[in-house]
Amino acid sequence: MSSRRMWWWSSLLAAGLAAGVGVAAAQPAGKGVKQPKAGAKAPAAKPAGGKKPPKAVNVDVAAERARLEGDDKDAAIDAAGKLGGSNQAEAHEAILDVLSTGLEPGVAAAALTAAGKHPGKDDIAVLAFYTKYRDPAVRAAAAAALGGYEQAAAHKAIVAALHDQDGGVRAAAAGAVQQAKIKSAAEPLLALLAKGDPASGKALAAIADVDMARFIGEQLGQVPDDLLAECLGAILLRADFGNEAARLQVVRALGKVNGPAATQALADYVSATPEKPPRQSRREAEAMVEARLGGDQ
Amino acid sequence: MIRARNAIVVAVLVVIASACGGTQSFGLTSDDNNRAALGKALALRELPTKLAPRNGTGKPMAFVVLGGKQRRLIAFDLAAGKAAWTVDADVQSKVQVGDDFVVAREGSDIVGRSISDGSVRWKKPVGGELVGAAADGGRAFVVTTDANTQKPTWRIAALDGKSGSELWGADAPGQLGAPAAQGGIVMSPFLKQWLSFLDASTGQPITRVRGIDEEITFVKATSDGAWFGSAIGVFRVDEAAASGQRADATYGTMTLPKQLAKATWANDGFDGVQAGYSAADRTRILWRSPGQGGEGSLRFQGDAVAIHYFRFVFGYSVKGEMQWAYSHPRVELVASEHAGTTLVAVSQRGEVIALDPETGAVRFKAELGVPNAQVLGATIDADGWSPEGEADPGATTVAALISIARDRDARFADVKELAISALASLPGKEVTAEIIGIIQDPRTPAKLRETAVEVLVSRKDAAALDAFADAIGVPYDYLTGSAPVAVAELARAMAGLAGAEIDPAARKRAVDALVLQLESPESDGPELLAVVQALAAIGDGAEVAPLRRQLMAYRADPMFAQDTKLVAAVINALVARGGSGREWVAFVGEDPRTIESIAAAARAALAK
Repeated sequence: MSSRRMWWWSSLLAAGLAAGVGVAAAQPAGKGVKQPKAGAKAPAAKPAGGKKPPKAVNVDVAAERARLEGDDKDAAIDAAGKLGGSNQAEAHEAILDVLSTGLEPGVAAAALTAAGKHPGKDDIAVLAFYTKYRDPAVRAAAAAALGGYEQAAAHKAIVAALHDQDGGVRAAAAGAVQQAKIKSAAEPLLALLAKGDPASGKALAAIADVDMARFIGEQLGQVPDDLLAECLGAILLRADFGNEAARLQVVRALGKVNGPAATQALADYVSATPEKPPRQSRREAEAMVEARLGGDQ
Repeated sequence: MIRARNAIVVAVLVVIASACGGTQSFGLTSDDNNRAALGKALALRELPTKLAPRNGTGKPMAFVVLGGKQRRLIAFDLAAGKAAWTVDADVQSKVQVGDDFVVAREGSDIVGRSISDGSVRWKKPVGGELVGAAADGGRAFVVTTDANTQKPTWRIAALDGKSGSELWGADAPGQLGAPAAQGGIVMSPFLKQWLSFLDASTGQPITRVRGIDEEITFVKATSDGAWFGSAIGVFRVDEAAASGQRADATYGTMTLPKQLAKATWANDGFDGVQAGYSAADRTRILWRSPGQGGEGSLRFQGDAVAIHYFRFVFGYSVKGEMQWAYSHPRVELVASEHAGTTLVAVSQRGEVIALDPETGAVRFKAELGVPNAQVLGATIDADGWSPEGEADPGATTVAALISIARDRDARFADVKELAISALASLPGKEVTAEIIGIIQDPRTPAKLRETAVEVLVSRKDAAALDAFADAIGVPYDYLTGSAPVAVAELARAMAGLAGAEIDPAARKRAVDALVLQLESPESDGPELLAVVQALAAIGDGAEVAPLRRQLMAYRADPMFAQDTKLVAAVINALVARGGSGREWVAFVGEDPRTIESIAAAARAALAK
């Protein structure tokens, strides 16, 4: 980790802008923080969402870093992708170093995406800073990248990004919530749902428990039908969601929602649910679909 | 005995005047500006030994006219705080107060009423259009014009206060203005050029003053003196007035703030509309001066005047400095009078107030007691009344100015500007907080906001840094809809605090709030520039880290590079602080990843 990057991080921490970031990151270089050795593995952070680490690809880190820092924007974006695709710790460090000292916004977005492929706890301060960057594409990339982190500081930055003025950034943050299953995002997501923000449906579905699903079902008339149907339908498709009674409750809530999106959600649930063992929720969903397809719906 | 002797002297003066200029009460030639004649005539006036109401009861009174389907006249006893009587009366002019009667135009008549109960004593057809009226002792003086003839004529007539019978009348070949009467003399403006002095008992001319420097559009009498003048200023009726010139007369004026320039020294006696209660009564300079004695120019009481301006009253020194302000809640004050010891005013809704002329403190507050009153106007006869109470301790000047500045009435944009400007000189962080509130209020008109910003900048109120922090430390939030308001303006004012003594905790809060905006993606160029300048001014070193982050994060961003002022501000702030900030600027100046224009700016800043 370069001393220049450490300076930058420590200034963030001093300002309290990267709340929850590990104390070690605030240590100035040369004061107890080990510099990563060449050829070492990337920081051992557990990726959020239980995904397997990508297959190792070795690259010429020095050369790719030079391209990443070069004047050729396309080459820099390509280099970011290559460094991000590598499991080499030096590759990850190079991305973070360059992000820490400023990049052209398009390149920064690619570098953020690359950084997020190998989550390390020391990354979060930098990525969180970029969730406030002036270019919304950069903010969106930062929010999306943070979805791979399980640390509270990363989640806090993602939840903050749900409040962003830019719909693209909110959508990226919602995607990150979906990926990281951030329960603390429920409140802002429900607020986004109430505002009819399309980013909210699937993200809420990803974190909804039985009570929240009931509450979401009660929003009929308050939330656009399509969005409500998308959310409830996505809840039904979650293998880890509730028991049969809870699913039946969601199906019945979905049955009250008008429009083709609700019909499609019910149909998707029927398709995704085996006939056996027989389930009341599936039977009712099937009946609803048949009734709708046979009628005006 | 004294009256008889005075009458003889007046008669002698009349003879003298007649010998000089003919017997006509009003003529184009006469013995103008005769100091001796004027002095002798004025010496005959019988004036009270101390300030006192004109009415014979001695009670301070307000005669209030209410509108509605049936107009009403209320005699309100100010000392008792309640109505003495109320009568139905179709009052169409200002009410004039005599010794034991009041007189006004009612419908097409001049009507005299008993001052004790409001009952009608007499009625008399107006006989033309009423120009104005006056009353003194047992007589009423009425000026009318017959405008319907090919050759309009004007006439002044004296009516007996008890019977209404005409005691005398005098025609004029030219325009007469509303008269005033005092101690046996009637003063009548003539053709806006002369002020004729007539014997109140006979109508015979005594002398007259010709205005040389100014026209004469009004004459008024108080219990201690008489005054005439124009929109420009006031002459005291004394011997010196015979010169007709400001320099030689007891003359006073002052330059009003341009926002209050509509206010006048008195009613325009030649404007028939002002014979009745009108909007002109709501923009009035309230002033007093000793009626006699003294030398040189007229000296306003307390070296100050008050200016009644619709809902507001401002106290001003003769040098033009605002000393106090009063803002009447909700409705306009429709009538006002300087009673010598207090300022008395009546509101549209029937509230009667008295203000201390020196401080603006509310000394008295009462209501007519008429539900949903719609006051058209009032004549206040309260010379010498001096209520001592503190009727509204909350009505401070600061509160008044803030109330004015935040007033929603679009008519008062200029007055609001005046109020905000006046706030500039008033101490207190609460004042600063209120000005910030005005700046942040989305309903504040743009021009007013600009004035408020200038005032805020000029105040340099470091003690109010917490208020700045509160105002500026608001995040943009799509979900709650919150957004900071006037970031650039507030930051500009904060930048003005460079070098001020600042409480460390307040500084930290302010820096945090500024950094919030610095790192908010919604902040635009002007906001960022002002924020950076504010951080540089008050950061005391705490600005280095956030500014360094800015420079590093955006040094390769073409959008940032385009904002050369912002780039320079960030770089200069870091260089000015020295140490690590300067080192980072050096790095940015040398590193090839920095956009060249930013690198050049860095190098240039370091080379200075």
